[in-house]
Amino acid sequence: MQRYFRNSDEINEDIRRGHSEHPRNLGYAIYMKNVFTAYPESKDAALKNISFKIPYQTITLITGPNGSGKTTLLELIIGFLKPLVGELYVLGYKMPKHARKVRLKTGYLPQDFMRSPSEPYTVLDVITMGLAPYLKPFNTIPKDIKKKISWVLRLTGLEGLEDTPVGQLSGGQQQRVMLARVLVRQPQLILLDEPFSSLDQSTRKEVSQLLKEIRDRYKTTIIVVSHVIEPIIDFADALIELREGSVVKEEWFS
Amino acid sequence: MVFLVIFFIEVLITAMLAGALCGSLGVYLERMRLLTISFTIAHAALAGAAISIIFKVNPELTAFFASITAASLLEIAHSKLNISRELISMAIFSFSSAIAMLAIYLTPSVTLTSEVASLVLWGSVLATSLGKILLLVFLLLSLIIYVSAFRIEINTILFDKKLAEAEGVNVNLHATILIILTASSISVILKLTGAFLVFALLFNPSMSSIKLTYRRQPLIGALLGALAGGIGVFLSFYFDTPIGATISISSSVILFASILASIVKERKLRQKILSKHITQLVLSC
Repeated sequence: MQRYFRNSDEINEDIRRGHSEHPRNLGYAIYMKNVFTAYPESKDAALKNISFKIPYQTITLITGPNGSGKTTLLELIIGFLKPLVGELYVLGYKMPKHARKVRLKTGYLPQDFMRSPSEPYTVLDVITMGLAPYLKPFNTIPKDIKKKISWVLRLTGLEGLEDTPVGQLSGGQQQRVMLARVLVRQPQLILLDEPFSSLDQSTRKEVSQLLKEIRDRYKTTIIVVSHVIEPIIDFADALIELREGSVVKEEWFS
Repeated sequence: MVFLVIFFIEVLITAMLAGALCGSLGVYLERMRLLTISFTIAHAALAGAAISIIFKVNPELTAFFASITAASLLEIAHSKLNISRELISMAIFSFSSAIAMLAIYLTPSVTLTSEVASLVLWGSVLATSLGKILLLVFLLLSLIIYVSAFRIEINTILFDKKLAEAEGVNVNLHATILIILTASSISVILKLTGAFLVFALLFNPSMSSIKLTYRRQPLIGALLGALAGGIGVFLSFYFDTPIGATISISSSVILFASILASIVKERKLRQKILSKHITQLVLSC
């Protein structure tokens, strides 16, 4: 793969800067201690007494049955939900106070991303949207970013589909577009919610392999929420199982 | 005669600019799910304008302050107190409507039939001036510049608001900018269409555009809004009817026509799909 990501020095500097802004040098991408959270107006906590520490440059698989709190956990990490009690640090930033800073360094692939056939935005439009928060007003896309977009299109097998309206693609192709949108941001942390749901067996393997390469080459921390564990379990560094909002199993493979 | 022609042209330009501004703005408000809020702001402007009749102050200023206050209350309640925008919108809408009715009730009947009351409540062709035209041009240019400057961020929000927020786009800032533009536009247009019907100009052309096309909706909304404004002025002059009501009726007719056109288009598409497969079936046999 050509180097369109940041180099090691830049990545290390990012990590160091994230930590030096805060008094506690926690050394983990995600630090969660005794966290409870609930949705507004709900009668019970959606996540109960969650504690775990996820180091940098790892792939963590979070699994569990429907309604166990997997998506809720991602929403907590990204700052859509607040901890009622407990401590949560993401990339060294206390949450939800520094949610925006975390979001600028994170790539998020949501569970429900399917677009209707009438969607007017093209593949290129959607991938470029991933860079929106980094662009200045009136800024046309700079040449180096255009190269980055081309590279991401090749990486995700979307070359030649740039001008195709997203709604006309298959589910698997749409998922690749959303993954490309995540990758073009060169995030420190990637959160994927059910990334294998619309993919066939061989594509699942390809995506898993891609995630492994991103972790190894670009020191990205990846959290995958999935009830399908086979494609990723061989590459995962940890498995966390949730049930009814609590962690019932935490297993580290390395 | 010359004066009449000049006056007519002035009114026509004002109405078309107002229609274009609201038609375009309405598309963004609808796509960002802020249309309910703009409905509330329109009624807050009505309350502000109605109060101005009693105290004999500039109705445009009071309308502007009332709508900005309503928008601010809405944002504070949503962001700090976690109350849903729709809920607080409806609360402010009810309150504003009640204040407006109360203000009208308390207004002496002499004042109520006066020019000022007509301007505020029913709209009037006399609500045009060079200053107003320049103000509308300024607002339209502001919208164009804003949308051009933040094109990619706005598209990101229109594509998926929650994902845009998760990626670090300041969704609240853009919502606030749109709401301020809406409040300003409503305050300026108030005297032309009247406070009761100003929302029709925000809603109808934008919904027509959304029904007709998936691409360039803000541009189509602007064109349809300008068309509604233009037709409304012609009809108002010809039939000597209140301008606000006539523009609203024109925009409503355009909306009905757009809905019909979209139904016809959908049916034709289905027939095309069916005939394509029937041909394939016949050929395979």
